[in-house]
Amino acid sequence: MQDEGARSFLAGAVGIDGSTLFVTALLAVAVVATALLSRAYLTREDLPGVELYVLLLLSAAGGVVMASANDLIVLFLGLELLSIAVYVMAALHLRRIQSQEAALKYFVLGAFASAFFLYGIALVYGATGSTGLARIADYLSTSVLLEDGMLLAGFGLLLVGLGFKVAAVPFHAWAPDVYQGAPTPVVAWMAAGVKAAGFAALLRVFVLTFGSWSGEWQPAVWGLAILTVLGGSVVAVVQTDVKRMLAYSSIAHAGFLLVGVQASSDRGTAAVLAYLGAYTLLACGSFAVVTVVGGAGDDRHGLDAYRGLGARRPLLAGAFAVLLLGQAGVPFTAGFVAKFGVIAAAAEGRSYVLAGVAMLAASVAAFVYLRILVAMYLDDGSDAPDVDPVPWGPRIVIAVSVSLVLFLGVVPGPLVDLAKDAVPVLVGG
Amino acid sequence: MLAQAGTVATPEVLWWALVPLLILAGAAVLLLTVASLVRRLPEWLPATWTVVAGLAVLVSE
Repeated sequence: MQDEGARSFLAGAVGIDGSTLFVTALLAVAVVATALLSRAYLTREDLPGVELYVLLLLSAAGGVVMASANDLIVLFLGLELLSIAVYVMAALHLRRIQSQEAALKYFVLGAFASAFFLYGIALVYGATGSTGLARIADYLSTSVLLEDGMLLAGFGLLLVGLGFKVAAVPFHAWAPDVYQGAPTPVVAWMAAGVKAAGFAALLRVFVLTFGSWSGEWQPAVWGLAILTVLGGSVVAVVQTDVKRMLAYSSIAHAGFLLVGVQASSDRGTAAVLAYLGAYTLLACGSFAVVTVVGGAGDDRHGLDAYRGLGARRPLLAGAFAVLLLGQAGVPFTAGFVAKFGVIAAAAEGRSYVLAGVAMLAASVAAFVYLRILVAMYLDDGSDAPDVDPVPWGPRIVIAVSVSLVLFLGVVPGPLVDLAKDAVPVLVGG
Repeated sequence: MLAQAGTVATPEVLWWALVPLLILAGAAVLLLTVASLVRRLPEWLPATWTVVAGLAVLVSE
């Protein structure tokens, strides 16, 4: 690809560009991390193993299809392949009723979202005469639509469908319950891989394809971004279950990513990709710690389980502290680089209110992570449940993610440069 | 009539661009097939297989 540049093939239905390679790499990292976490988890919970890995690989394949889609129908195929596998993965803890409940909630709401997305494709096809992204972009930039109602309705429905997938407020209702109920390694995949694929699709569809009509969809994404950063951050504050806290934190991170999408610029797109890279590391590492502390039965997720962890398991607590500070966007962590990028992109696009709200939300969200840090280091944990020795799989995930979060926080160049080179390009068939 | 059919026009396929997708989907199908045919898989095999597939995708990039 370095020699030939971005290409499309299969009659223009599939493309390959920098963003395809970048997002595919993120998905591969998330697959490796999830597999390493799952081995120890399945052994501890005494669950059959093969199905989870097969579904994980198929889900990742769906994500790769989404990242390389040059056609709305191909995008939908990838979305369904990604999603259906995850619905089943969420139900894989056969002895926990919460796992079955989480899967059913995710499936029912996800099916509705897919229907919205498909209807959106139909309306956009009706308005533009094509489902190919390059052809749609070309049509929209060269034609004057006398009546744009169908197209705008299509924009809205596509945004609803993809907004559900990335857990943007108000389509986020499934996320806390599904994150809390699903097996923790599966939640790591949902937070890292599914989010990366969802935002790859958002960038390709809205920023790239509908870019010439950004004036129409930017206000909607602006509103979604504000609701999502504030909703995720504020509601996370009142949670007492660490998995639910991280679920609302994940919603807040989706809001920050939407800030970058709203900018609808190369800088905004690069900032979104860099944020996805940082967040993949943070999510995989954080949920690795949660998997370990969860214990047999995967139900020790209250703040009580983390009380005094700093004294009982100092290395584990220290690693979790670094990851939480990274999620808060503290300087010298990859999270700071990520948040700075999206807020700077919003400011450059003159969305000063959005940038201000994002900074405010970051401050509110910091309280969530500080609560966990206080529990780990300042609370008495003498009556807290013991944490089992960390198996080698989660140990590798935690060590690598903490190292990279700190390295990229001090030397952000590799991540930022890769993201800049990975800005997606539409190539016609 | 069959002789007059000529060649079928097929779209261009960049196989090298499909390598990550083929690795992931192929690894999934192969793992499922082997698990269905073998009575008892070693415990370490599915996780190792998945990690190797993920690393192969990274390397293929």
